[in-house]
Amino acid sequence: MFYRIYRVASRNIVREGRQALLPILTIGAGVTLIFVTQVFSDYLRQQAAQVAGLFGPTASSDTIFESSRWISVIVLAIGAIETIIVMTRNVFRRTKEIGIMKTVGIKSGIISFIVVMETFLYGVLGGAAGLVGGLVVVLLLAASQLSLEPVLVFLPAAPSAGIYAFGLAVASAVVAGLYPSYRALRLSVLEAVSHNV
Amino acid sequence: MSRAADGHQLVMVDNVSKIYHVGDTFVNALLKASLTVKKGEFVVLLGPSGSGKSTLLHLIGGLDRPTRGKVTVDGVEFTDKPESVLSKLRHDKIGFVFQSYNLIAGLTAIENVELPMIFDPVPQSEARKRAKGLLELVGLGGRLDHRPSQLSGGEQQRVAIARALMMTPSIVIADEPTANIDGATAASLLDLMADLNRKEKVTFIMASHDQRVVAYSTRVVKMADGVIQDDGQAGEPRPSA
Repeated sequence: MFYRIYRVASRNIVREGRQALLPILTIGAGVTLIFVTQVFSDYLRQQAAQVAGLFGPTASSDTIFESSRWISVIVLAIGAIETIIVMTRNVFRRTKEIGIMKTVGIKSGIISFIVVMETFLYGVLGGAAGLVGGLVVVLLLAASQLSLEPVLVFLPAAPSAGIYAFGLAVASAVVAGLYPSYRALRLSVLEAVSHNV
Repeated sequence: MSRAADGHQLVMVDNVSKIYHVGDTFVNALLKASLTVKKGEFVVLLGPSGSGKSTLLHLIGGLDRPTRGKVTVDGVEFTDKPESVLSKLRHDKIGFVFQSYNLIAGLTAIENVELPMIFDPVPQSEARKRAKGLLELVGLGGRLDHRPSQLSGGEQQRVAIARALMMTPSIVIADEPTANIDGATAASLLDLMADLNRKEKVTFIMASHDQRVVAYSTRVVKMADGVIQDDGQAGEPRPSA
């Protein structure tokens, strides 16, 4: 059952084509930022301390460092909001299709689960794209003269940073799927099957 | 013994009314309708638009609930039951054929036919084999991988008929299935349904405003203004088509 739901959800994403790219890329951008921030956390703290010194006693290194983290989370949140918008629009656009599925006796719970599975896959795809982007950014930054540190210094932090960023992406995408999933659940079969966009 | 109490009845509609609220007004779509259908019948609900045919089909098909009265299909009385019971009823016992075909555009003909079985604990190869057999039965054996947009109206309706038969339903409900297709194609579709009724013993309830469908039925129920005005006798011999 789980595998069949996965197949239908992945097929739906493929059918979306370019429309699916926006949430995936935005989630990916958020993941990249979070990953980079995590991997370079020690270095960023040091840099933040120097920057804070320039601004005098009103700015602390922690404040500046936390700000960089918040920016990452906000980008990821924008990705999640885009996922909500895309999926809510998809549920509306697929109203008739959902009505047909309900008419032939496919349970509303399964249809809702398909929607959540789609957003989960957005999270997975966005997370994977973001990690690839993050690794590229980390390697480029570490290899440059910016850090004054060899690449290997930063790599031990990569696995935990990757798990953290990827997990956050998937979790936010699944949460983003709950509202459109609820809408799919609540659709009346007769209204849905009579729906014409 | 009343007909409704007869154990051989497949469908029992008992004093059913359906009232819709439109703004501050009430619309009586169906008024105190009673109808029984036996296994193997080909019943045509005949009447003009707004006569309550579709409403009655929706209630029999578990797509909607009556305001008053009871509906029983193959022993399942579902008037006050939750959506999950109606969903199971539609899945196990009822096949639907709509005027607008209602196929999923992104799926091929065979995938559309498989749709009712897609989440059932049945091997996919078995579902595919059955769907293929049904498409061959309706004359579309060479069109398995065509999408709805690549099929004519008549062919799409044949796919819809094959999908309706996928779960071997107790009854197939057809709401104006020939309204969107030309006369010759409509006649071949009606021939197909009459054949399925005769040879495969598929029970049909069809709504139509077209007098020509009468020739294919075993019984005609005339409706007007939400009221059953004339219920033909069950088991009448089919007139020659």
